[in-house]
Amino acid sequence: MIDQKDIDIIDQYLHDKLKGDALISFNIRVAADPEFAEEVELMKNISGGIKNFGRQELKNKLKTIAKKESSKQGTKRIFYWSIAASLLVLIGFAGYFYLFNQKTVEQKFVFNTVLPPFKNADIKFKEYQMQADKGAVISYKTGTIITIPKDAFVDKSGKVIQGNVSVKYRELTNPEELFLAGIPMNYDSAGHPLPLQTAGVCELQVFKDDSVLNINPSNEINIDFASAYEKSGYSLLSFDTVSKKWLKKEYDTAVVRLDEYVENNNNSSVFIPRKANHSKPRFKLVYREPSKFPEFEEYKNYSFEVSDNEKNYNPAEANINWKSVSIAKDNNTGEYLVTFINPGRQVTYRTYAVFEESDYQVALNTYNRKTKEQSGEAAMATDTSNLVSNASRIKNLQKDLSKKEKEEFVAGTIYRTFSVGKPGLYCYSKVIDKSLGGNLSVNFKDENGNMLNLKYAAILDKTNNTILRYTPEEFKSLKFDTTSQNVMIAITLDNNFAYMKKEDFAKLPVAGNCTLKLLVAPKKPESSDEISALIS
Amino acid sequence: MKRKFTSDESVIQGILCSDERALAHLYHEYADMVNHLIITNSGTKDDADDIFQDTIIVIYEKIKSGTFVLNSSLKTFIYSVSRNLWLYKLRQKSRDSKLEDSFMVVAVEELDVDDFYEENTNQDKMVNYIKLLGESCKKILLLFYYEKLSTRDIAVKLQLAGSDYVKTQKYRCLQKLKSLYLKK
Repeated sequence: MIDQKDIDIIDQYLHDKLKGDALISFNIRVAADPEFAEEVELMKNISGGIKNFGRQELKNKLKTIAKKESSKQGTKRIFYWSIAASLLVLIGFAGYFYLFNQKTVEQKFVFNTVLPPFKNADIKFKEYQMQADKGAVISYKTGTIITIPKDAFVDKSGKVIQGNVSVKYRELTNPEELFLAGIPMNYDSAGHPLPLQTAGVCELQVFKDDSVLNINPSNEINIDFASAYEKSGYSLLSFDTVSKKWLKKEYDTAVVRLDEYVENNNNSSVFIPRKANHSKPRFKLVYREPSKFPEFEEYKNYSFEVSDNEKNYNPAEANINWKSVSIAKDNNTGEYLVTFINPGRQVTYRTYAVFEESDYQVALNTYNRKTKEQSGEAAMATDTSNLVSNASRIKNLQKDLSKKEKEEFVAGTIYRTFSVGKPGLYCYSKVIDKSLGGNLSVNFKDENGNMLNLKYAAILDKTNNTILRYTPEEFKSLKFDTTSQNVMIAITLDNNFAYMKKEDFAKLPVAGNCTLKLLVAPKKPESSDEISALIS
Repeated sequence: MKRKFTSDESVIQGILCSDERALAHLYHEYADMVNHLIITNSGTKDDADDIFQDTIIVIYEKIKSGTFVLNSSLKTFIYSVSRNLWLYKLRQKSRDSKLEDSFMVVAVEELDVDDFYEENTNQDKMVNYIKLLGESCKKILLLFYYEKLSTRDIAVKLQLAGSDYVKTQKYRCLQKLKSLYLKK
């Protein structure tokens, strides 16, 4: 008869606690006592069953945690947006994504890590050496200008870095480069990955002696990002390597066409209203000869705000009783040079003419009317003042570049300006703002008609400037923009590059079942040019 | 109060203390890594979820049994276990069993995970009878046979009268389970 004592011994055996003589005695009893042996067998099953039950319970716990974590991430995202955006903008944006969500594809959110498919073909960074305590202006081959103020870098402890540092920078401007650099191109909208189109992606890294540096929060880096995409509606996003998501930073408000705004600004008769910035000093002036500045005619209640370019402003000068004041205009920058004069002493400040919030809209209406009258064209109904200022600043920066650098520029007329508070990956992107009408159920074969097993397939969408990636489980419903210029590529299970010629993909139907014949490249491509050559 | 797991040791300690936040931490830190490994190696999202759960179970059981020795980082360990579990599954499915370690280059420990998926029909059936037991029986048996706690520790954890009381209760629960099983 088995009793509690016997069960205790069996438990010790099952927990590997029987050693030496005790274990030998146990085994002898199992061999000699069939009832005990049967009980041991039963207890093994019970112990194993409890283990399986425990695993099921643990799995359930992990599933609950997974659900909680993903809902937390959604909550956090909404929280950050609510801080970053004004209410109006937030509603507009959320509504946009809601509406978009109704009509677009929901891809599985798996391509969320920067992962170049071929290590040797990753898009290279350009490395610049500079003195951290002096600052630098760096120009990249696309025309992008990176302005680094002095003392812009800190180490992990927050200590300002001095001496030589290495700045690494790269841009990814077309779908082939996005593919080779392995850039994720989905936006996570409350757990739903939505495909992004982009006006350009860039990445900045800073090192000192191989140690990664951060950016000094008091001296952020300014990037005037040269872009080939003029259309507005893109947002600045930064890639968060922890959550593996693109996070929205700001709207695309600073798009400038250098030729347009600088030319306008060079016309001395044009005065474009600016809104006052209350954190900056400004002063009001009364003219004896208003006709000297006919561009101010019809404008009321403007004052002069000290420009960002003015480094010598001394607030103490405001307490001096000046005998006279003169004004001159800098046609290159659009600034007004205001000179305060006393016998034996004078000071000049670079300023902009600005309006209080309450007067600004009136001034903007006046400007629009005057522009329309002068040019006969539709007036610009937007706040253009900062754009003019940016255009002037970029133009001035370009003056300092060498002839060779200028010649290298390929997209240097359209600029988007933003500041960088930490190194990393940034892009100007938006969710593809049209329905992805193409919907194919596909399988893949190689040129000999053999079934081709793929790690993933992708469409390089040249028109939207993006890459749409598909896992094998998504091959049943491969969605794409039928109005775009598309190219099909893939990575095989053994990590080779496969592709379809551009014209072959264009011949496919936009919906239904089809077998796609891919060519497997004899070797892995090593540059975006090689890919372009293969697919064309 | 929110607890921060600042080191691998603190996570292990959290699991030893059955702190559910340690599991949440593991999910938060490593689920994406495992997802990526599986999906880039011909697995699906569901496969990835299963492998991640199984990986955590392997680690959980090793920690609870006191046989867990951390020779590398927890991240490397989790990666190794996931990789081995997935290789096993791939072999089962007779798919291409060569994994592309493009995500992370690590010195993979050869862990014996084959017995993890070992099937035993009798044990699987037993699960159904365990589910028929009362909550207190399930708790005591789980803590003793799965979590490997002593009867004394179980008494403290469940605020029961003492070690002997737990022993008696456990014996009664086993008798109940046996009778359910033998009546089948």
